[in-house]
Amino acid sequence: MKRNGLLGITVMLAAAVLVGCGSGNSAGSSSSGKVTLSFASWDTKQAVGLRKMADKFEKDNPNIKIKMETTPWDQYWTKMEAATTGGKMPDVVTMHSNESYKYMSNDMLMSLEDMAKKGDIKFSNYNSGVTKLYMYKGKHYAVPKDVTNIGLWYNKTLFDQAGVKYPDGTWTWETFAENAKKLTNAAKGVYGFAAATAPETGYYNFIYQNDGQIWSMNEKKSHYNDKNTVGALQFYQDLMLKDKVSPSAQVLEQTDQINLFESGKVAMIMAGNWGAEELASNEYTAKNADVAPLPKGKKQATVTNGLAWGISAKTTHPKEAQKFLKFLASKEANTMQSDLGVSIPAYEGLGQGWTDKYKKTFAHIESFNEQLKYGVLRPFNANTIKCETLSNEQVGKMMSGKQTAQETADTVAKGIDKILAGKE
Amino acid sequence: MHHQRRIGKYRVNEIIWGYLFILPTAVGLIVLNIKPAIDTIYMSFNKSAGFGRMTWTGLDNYKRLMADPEVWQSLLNTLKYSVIAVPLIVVFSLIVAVLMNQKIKGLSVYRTLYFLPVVAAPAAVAMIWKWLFNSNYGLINQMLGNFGIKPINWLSDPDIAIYTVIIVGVWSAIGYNMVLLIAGLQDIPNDYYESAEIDGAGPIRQFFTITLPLVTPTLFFVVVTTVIGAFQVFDSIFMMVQQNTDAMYKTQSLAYLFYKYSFILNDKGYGSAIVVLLLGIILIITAIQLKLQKKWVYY
Repeated sequence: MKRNGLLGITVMLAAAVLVGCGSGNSAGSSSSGKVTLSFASWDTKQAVGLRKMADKFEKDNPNIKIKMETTPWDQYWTKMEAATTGGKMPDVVTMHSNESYKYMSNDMLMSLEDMAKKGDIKFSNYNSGVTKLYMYKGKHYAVPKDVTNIGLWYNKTLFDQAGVKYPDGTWTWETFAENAKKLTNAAKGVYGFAAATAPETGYYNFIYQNDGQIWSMNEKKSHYNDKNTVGALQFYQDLMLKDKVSPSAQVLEQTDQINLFESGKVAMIMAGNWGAEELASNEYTAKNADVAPLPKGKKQATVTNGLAWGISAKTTHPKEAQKFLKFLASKEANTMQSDLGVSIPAYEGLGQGWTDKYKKTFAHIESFNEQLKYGVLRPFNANTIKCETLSNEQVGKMMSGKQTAQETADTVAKGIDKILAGKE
Repeated sequence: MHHQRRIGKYRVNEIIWGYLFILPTAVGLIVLNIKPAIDTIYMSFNKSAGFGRMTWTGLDNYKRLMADPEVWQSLLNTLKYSVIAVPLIVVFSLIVAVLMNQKIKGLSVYRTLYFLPVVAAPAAVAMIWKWLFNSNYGLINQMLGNFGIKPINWLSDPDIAIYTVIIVGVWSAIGYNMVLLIAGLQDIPNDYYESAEIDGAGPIRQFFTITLPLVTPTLFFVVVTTVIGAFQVFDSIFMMVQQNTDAMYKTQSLAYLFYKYSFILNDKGYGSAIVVLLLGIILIITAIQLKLQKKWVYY
């Protein structure tokens, strides 16, 4: 009898521990019939505007509550994968082309074909490049949120001091390098440009301007050692090592180019339109900075990319999530996104609100809208992160003078071919 | 007969209670440590496709690991870190512990100061150090500048970064080991020192003939845990050194490489193989230490 009692306690304790581990699984529906949807994104600056959009949706749909989950970029994907593996992916998620392929090809995102058929989403409304980033085997998996591209941000004060004319759409690589030299004053620690080992906000732009290739979406082969790519890498390396118009690679590794720009240490940086919010909220750059189209190589080009919104394939509230996504895809929501200055919507023709919002601070902010016509999509495939990590490691070596542009291109090309063949 | 059965019943009862008391810890260990460890070993024989899905690939990951120069460089970095950091940590901890074991004014203030790094979150500590070591704006380079020393790229020079990480590692490990060693020192009876003093032994002689031998059991524990900790170094590297750079290549430990493959590149199978290699190395070194303890530890 006594022994049985003991065993009973043991079993109960064990059960309590196990139950404890498994709890917290209940979905977000409360007893009052209200449904709560989780909505994941990473940019804290954008989250302010996104919240206002969610408020509008809540007002129109009193039975649905939107819970925003903002996680910094560095942890966003780690957390997202863990949550998805554990069956707790947020209901509505923000996707990036680096990761979207993995989620689409593993059936973790809900196909949006039904919504398109019903007319809830009209994919022809959005920037076609960004739309393509979120398609897998001919099916749509996410609604394009915004479209980004890279501009040449410059410090007007440093230009005035050096007596250099502000950059405009007419600059070529030669004008760019020449003026960068004039702006450099190494003794004072001021440089013309920050040649950071950054792909999207750095060397990819030069590769595209030189008509070079990085890797293609459909082929099992990279074209990284194309002679035009090598030429662009060479130009980029020369900016730092030959012309010496950029802080050294070791300095750039420790201090982000935006920070250097904000403290008046570099006269020009390449940064995306998503940087406008940060540069406008910084007192120094709000007063001293403006933006111009990127210089022209063999042709004009800028790297474009775009985020998108998708629904978890395993959401417990598919109807409500679709309703919210329909709202996010609407002209109304995207006009809000633009007017609130969140970003340039991928919904075509709504960029003016975004431009107007920043126009007072940065006189030539419309450069970003103008550049869209010659934007080139950021390279994307099933292994984007692996390919890009490899590229960054090798370009980093090149920028610190450890290898030539040709050697860099050959190593990366060989490595990417191996990755695409599934060997690494 | 009757008597014996009663003892048996008593024994059974005792055994059940025994198991009952270790149950919470045992369940915790199994669920949180042992099960994941077994999963990791299993995963190291697979290629992962994300979201926990994987396909069996046998020894492929280990073959790739053998031929991967990045793995060997990371192993070299880990060994370099351990060989330099462990002796520094042990020696400094012991010196500080001996000093903190004196009867001086404000002792608890000093003890608190030395223990503070242990209480602070490692990530926060690394962030502060990162700023101190910044080559442009960092306090350390500013101070060195006063003596006419040119700015040093503490965290981005591939030849220097690992030593910077070691400095931070040593700094943050001293406090914890100091507390352990103080406890060990206070177990040494005062009589020995009194007789030594009467015999005319000075403080240095006393330290080497009494303190050091008698503190060896604690010292052994400190050495074993410090070695394991050094081989697993991760957070300071992750927080302070920029990823995908040459400096990282020459600094990253096996634990960091595991993180890179598992969580940045999403190659959990290969990442697991790397961490199994690390586990093997730590097991061997700890086994050697347990064997060698007979030669220098006085119980």
